Amino acid sequence: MSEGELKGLTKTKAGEAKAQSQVRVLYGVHSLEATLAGRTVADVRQALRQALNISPQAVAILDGLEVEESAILVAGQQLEFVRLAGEKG
Amino acid sequence: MMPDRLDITLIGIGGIGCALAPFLARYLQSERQVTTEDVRITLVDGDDFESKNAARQSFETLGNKAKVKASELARNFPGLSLRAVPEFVTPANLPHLVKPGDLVFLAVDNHATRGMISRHCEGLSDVVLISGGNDLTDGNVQVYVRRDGRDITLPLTRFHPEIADPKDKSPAEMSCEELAVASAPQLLFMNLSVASAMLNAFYAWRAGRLSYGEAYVDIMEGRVQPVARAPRHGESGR
Repeated sequence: MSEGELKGLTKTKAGEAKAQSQVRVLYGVHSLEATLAGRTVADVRQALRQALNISPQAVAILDGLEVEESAILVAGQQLEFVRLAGEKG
Repeated sequence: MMPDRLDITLIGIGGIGCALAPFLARYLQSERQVTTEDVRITLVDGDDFESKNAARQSFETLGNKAKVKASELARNFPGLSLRAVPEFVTPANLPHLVKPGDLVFLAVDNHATRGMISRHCEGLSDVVLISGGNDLTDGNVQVYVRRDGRDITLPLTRFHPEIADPKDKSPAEMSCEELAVASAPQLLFMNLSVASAMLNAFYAWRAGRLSYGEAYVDIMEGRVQPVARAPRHGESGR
């Protein structure tokens, strides 16, 4: 196996490992995937609060079920902070 | 297979409702040429159109919004059956306005009314409730579908404490002074985006391909994000 092939394989393996620890996070129109497995919902809310302007009132749901802030994320899950509904019309 | 009769109720003829109504009517009239479906549209709003609303709302004359808009639509789309209910929604008139089998477009400007109507729909065997709301440059659409007495998607109140336990009041509960207070600024383009998203959800439902229960819209980001809102194992799905 050439050095180039080895590098490519290492890169792929590293990519797979990263993908295996990724969690999808949604808030309103925003979505991102990040290496968050093992973190709590509260950790993620705090980390993204300013960047996404997440409301403290936003309910956290993990794979469609409402969860406590202490819930620990598992790779492959989807965490959504439910953006408050638009009020006017 | 769609029913032979479709009763559609549009509640709230403000910025979103004004943007939605003519396109809904045009679509339904054109559909009538290829189906035998009997469509009846009921417009509900207790508010009067005033010239100060003209930046976002289109009415040919001053007067009650439901009556004026129903009259306009009846003239432009003679193949449709239209009626107006010039009232705000209250617990007393709600059972007469939203009945089993109805399809409801909810385009009001307060969470109190959204919560009241969603809870009412939870008690109906079959209903489709498509609700839209916006702030200045973003908003959302929620689609609550019940079929054969079970939730297919989740009620508007689920995951939305601001609707389940609203801090605002419905217009029927407000004093004249409260009604006169200027509300938060809105943008016509945002009303239009939410109206369009509501009609898109309607079309997807009619096509049997509705795959989401909520969609977020942000015109500054140029994005729409649909999200599933299905009852999960262990939830009532009543």
